[in-house]
Amino acid sequence: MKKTVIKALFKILYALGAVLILLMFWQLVVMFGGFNQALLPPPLYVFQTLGDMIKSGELLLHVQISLYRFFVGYSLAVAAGLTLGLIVGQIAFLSKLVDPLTQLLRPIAPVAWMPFIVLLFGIGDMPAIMIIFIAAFYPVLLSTISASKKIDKTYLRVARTFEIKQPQVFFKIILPAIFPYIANGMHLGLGTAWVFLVAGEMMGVRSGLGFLIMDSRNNMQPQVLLSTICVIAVLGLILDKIVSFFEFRINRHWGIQSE
Amino acid sequence: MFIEIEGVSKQFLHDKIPILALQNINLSVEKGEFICFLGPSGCGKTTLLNMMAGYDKPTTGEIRISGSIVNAPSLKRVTVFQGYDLLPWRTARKNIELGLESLKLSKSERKTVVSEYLDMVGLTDFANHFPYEMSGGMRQRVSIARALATNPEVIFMDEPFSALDLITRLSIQKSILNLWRENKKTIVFVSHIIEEAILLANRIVIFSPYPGRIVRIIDVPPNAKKGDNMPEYKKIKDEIHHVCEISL
Ligand SMILES: Nc1ncnc2c1ncn2[C@@H]1O[C@H](COP(=O)(O)OP(=O)(O)OP(=O)(O)O)[C@@H](O)[C@H]1O
Ligand SMILES: [Mg+2]
Repeated sequence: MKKTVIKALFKILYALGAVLILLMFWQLVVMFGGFNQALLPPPLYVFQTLGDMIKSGELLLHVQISLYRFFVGYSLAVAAGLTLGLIVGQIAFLSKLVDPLTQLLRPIAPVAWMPFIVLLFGIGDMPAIMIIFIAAFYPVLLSTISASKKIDKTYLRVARTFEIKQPQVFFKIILPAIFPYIANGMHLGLGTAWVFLVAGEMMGVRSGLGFLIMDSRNNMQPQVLLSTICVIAVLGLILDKIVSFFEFRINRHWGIQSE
Repeated sequence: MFIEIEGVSKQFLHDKIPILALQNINLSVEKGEFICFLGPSGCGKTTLLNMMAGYDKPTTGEIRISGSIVNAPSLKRVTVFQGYDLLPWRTARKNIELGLESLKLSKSERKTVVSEYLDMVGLTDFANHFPYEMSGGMRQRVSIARALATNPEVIFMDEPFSALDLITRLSIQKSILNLWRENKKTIVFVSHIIEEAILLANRIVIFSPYPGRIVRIIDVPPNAKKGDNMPEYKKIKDEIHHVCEISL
């Protein structure tokens, strides 16, 4: 017990240390890099700006709308990826069809679809949601398919032993058995989708963190730009930690050893 | 005869090389018998049990139960496996309930049965624990309770006590003996502990390794079970030792 607490404390210390080093590096580049300070503001000024943005309530609005788009796109991706993955994973010939298809489509960066999506759906929330959807969809789909293919034989034998028939085998055995792998896919999807949040909001919307980035560039406000970047980083970290926590609980429950 | 095994052989392929795991096994079991398979590791005990329970098919020969050839597992013949096969997402109670869900029982009937078997394996206080919160022996006991709860005609057990400490082991052995005496179940039990076989079985089937064959079938007289100071006990133990030595 004590040992784990100390370990956790050290982990936090290292993380803080890393952030501190990054800030120092930034400060040094500002002081000795010879860049125009109007283009590369020092950390302190950026944090002041960040404070002002928080106080004015402006930042909160952008964060809210970004999170809204993110969760809509991500939830749709999880729902679609899961359903499709479960169906495809159960039917051998479908998975043979879907496999080359995903290999073909997956390497296309989600943003590449952007102009096309704008043509189809117009501007507004939809393009951003679609980009996030595309980014999160593949990890969820692929991990669901691979999980349902390599389901532990012991569980299927238990199903045979107790004469459990379809569809109960699916709901009582298969779905819960692959749940940890699905959770892992959802975690991966979350990370990927967050990366593409900014890209999704760079065109066609006048709100959100991605818009804030583009807007501050257009208005030559690097301090706002860097503030937004900090916010994106911290929010991404928080989301990841929340999901990691649930994943850890699930894995422990399912008896999967990690780390 | 209730269970008939006739001329059964089983061959596995390992890297395309055939391995004869069992050779010409013949055995008949009457209803209500307690049979114990005894033999060194790798002699094919698990293989034979798996085929009797319907998980695998013989390469040659036939296994019949109640006159019909076994080709799939059935709720009437439940198996407790070597190792753990609990569902980690279900509590002890829900794991035991699994088999009952395939039967036509009401919710309250299921609950009563589960409680009864939880009590039998001494895990009433752990009813709502998940497998990851239980020790290896506790999990094994849940697995035993799960198999017994469906009230099968035949129970196959593959070294179900191997993870249990001596005291728990003795207590579960006793429960199983009671269960057998009271309900006249047919039990086929795999072990490699001679004392355990004498205590539990009414007949002991001794296997030899490579390829697995039955070398002797020994009837256990009731007096041999009364304790290790009984002359019948010593006699049968010596006999088993002797058979094992010459078959090696
Ligand atoms: N699926 C399989 N494929 C190939 N060979 C197998 C397979 N299952 C068992 N064997 C082989 O068959 C033989 C008998 O194995 P089995 O598991 O029945 O032994 P056992 O008597 O139960 O041993 P133990 O006491 O160690 O459990 C062994 O030589 C084993 O390697
Ligand atoms: Mg075995």
